[in-house]
Amino acid sequence: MASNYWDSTQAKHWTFTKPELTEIRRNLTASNPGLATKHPLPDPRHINIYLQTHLQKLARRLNLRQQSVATAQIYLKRFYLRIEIRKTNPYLIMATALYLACKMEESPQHIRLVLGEAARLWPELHANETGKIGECEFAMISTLQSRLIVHHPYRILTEFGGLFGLSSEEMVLAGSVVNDCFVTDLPLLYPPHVMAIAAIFLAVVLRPAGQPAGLQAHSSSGPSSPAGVAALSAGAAQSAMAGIAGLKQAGPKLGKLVDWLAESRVEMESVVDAVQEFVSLYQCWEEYQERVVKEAVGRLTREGK
Amino acid sequence: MAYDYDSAPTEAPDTPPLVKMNVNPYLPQRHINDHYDIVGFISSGTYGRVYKAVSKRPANGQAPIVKHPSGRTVEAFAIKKFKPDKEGAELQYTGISQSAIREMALCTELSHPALIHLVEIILESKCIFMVFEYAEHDLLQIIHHHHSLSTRGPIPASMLRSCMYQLLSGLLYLHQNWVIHRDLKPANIMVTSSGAIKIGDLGLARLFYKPLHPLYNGDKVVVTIWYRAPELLLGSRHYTPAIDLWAVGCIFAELLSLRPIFKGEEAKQDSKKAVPFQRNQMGKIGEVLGLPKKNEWPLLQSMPEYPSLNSVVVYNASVNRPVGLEKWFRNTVQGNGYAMPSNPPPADEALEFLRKLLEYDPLKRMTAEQALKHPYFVSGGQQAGQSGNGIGGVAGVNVKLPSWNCFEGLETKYPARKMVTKPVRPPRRPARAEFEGNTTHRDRIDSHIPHLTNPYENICMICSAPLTPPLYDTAPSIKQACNACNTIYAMDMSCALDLKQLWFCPAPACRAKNRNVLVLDVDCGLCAEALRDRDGVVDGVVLVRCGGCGPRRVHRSCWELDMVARKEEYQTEAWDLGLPARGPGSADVASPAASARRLNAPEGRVAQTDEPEQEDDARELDEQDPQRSGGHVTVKMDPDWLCNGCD
Repeated sequence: MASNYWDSTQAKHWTFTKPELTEIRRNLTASNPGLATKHPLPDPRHINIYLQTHLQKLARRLNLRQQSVATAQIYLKRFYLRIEIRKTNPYLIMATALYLACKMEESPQHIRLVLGEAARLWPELHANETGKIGECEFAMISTLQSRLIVHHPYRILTEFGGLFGLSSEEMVLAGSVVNDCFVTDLPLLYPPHVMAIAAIFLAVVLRPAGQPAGLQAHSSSGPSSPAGVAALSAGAAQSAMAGIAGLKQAGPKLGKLVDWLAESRVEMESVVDAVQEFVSLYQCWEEYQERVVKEAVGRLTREGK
Repeated sequence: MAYDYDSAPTEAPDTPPLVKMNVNPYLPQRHINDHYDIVGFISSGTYGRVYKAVSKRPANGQAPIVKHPSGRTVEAFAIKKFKPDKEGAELQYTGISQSAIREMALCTELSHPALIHLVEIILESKCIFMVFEYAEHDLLQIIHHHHSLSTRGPIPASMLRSCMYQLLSGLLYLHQNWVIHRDLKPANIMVTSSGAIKIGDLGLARLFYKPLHPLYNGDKVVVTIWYRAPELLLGSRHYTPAIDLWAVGCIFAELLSLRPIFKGEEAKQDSKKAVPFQRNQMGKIGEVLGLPKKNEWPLLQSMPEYPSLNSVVVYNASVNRPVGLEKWFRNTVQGNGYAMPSNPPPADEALEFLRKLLEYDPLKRMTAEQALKHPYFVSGGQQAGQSGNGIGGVAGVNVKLPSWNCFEGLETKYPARKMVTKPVRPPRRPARAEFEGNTTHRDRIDSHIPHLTNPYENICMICSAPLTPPLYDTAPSIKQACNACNTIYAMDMSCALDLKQLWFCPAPACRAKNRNVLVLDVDCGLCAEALRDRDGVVDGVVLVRCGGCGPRRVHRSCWELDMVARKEEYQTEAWDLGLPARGPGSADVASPAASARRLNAPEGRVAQTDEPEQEDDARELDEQDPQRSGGHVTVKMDPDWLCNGCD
């Protein structure tokens, strides 16, 4: 729940191990024989990038706060863990996730407004009545088993930011890294604080004070300019992770972070894994071509007609 | 076998492709009628309706056993069906209300012994069904029971202490989880037959951790007026869990005195959507506590409605001479029939406890955590202990915390929850002749209060319009009797509704001393019992219109009963939940408009009914196809259905 993550439905029912995730997805494909070959889709991570960035676009048109968007992004991830994406119209699912998330985050938007903006943004939505979103909302709540309260890394990020004395620039960068976690499987794997720590780590390690930005998180630079990660190579991150002794030299802030991590009971492997996940995401992002994904997703919606 | 959410198939291979919703409709995974048998209708309100249900027994074998997480078996269920946003016509997916979303999410997330247990949620036929564990009683019903004439007597002190302890434990859990309940009142606090308190109705509850907007922006008005904290009455934009503690204080006082401590009249919102200042309610609080002062409540002056506070005294001068909480407490305890050996009064700590809950300044008001550590619980209850009922302890001996069974050591049995059950055969509808001439009706009044005088026989005492005889006529009248002088007087129905706050008797000889007026008249068209509730306000009434002889009022419960009987006559399925019958194959797609209308049509309060609506109804009568349509049975709303009187 809001105060206690460990008692929450997120911890109990919506957090998995990597093998579990693989198994769930394999079963999902197996239970829909033929669909996968009938509708080949690009790299799942590219699909994720596409969906999550487009969800952000809709949210921006509606002037929504990041917290509502993040909740919608989690709903989307959970939903597609239970339902094969090829059986859905992803645009309708996105609009519904956002509509539901706004209500859950106590900043409701009128269903007609959400539909209107979504239809303008995505002609592929093929929905012109609010009943469609309303009906889809039923399916979504049912699929998510009404476990709608979501814990995000933002709150912990703010707390830790103060704890480690991060500059506002570093905080912004860390925030953007956190925004990117919704493209990965991390929110389905780890508790929110792991992502917050990984984001702080990336912000501090890769952008020491006074130096030009080594890393640009994607959500800050926008989906259309994937060049931001150019400066970051996986090698650099890995060498930075290589040894605690080496890290300590990277600066006092990092030293403090490392000391704190050593004393705390945070699972280091999860944090390291999260950092690596982020790094490989940014590599993957470089190969991302929106057009390819858009066409593939477009084929899905046409099939639905 | 227990139903386990997580072993439910993620997606069965043969599930129709439900989400490509441009083509296929949403199909629920579980159907309410496959798993539950409705045994009765409990209540209806603004949110929807509540039914009692048990597990359905399959044709071949045992009913499945549903387990509570703690291991005990859930015997019965309360199913809450949310009312669709838009009434009438065919149901549409209009988007689920904020309140339903909150309740669904919070009930799924939270789990505590003092919180009502959610079994599951079923979304079916465009309706939301929340299945809760059934609780036999609620605090309002218990208060009524003690208040009623036959059993009049105070709630035992040990029970009071246990109720409060459990209630506050549940509330502490909510607050620790960043949830404010925002609608605590006796009716929302359930009591199981084993004496466990369960906080219910989280429809207004919300998370308050770092809200994106001030809480006020989301919901302008929260908490039922009598239990609304002073900072809310004064228009505070930011408020805290302390508002729940004020409500707890009001509930505690109500359990002590069996009537609401601050029973104000709600000022209605005007058309401009401006939230009015609740002057009357503030005055009621002031009558007991005096008005808040800025030296006791430093932030008082920054409250938006602070300037309005001065106007309270203009309308209610007694706020200048407040009773004081101590005197209120002593009077209540004395006047309430606590008798030392068998039924000891609450310990003196109770007064201090109440004082700290009804503290004006929300910052100084006791928190749930502090309340649980209050001497009332940890060292109080000596007097209660002497009764030897095992709760509390004798002074000097180790004091036990209150029991988690509020009935522990008590003999009293409370009546089971009232509900409308499925009748074996339709109730007999009395013929018109029985009501003709109004004789039975008059006889009944006479048997209730002998030697009545009625100075206002044929004119309305308020508007002086001539009154047509009551019952089944176009302008029904209300008759009220004064308890003190036995004067019976009459008024127009609409005047009566306007005037419910006029509590003194209008008889000239009586006017000064009496505030107690009892609504006697206006009888239910079906059961012929008087239409009234505990406060004497006409409510829970359905207006049924007959084409032949005008509108008629019936008890909501009688109406439900009649509906059931009617439906049986027409052999419709699913009499209770209003779901369209599910035939093989065709499924939920086509819910007949008529069945939706049937459920939604003649509801609403008397006062809201107006001419155009009635015309609509009349037109509907003609248009509706009384016979089967599309494989579904629709209820024929013929004049006979509506009227016992005309042919």
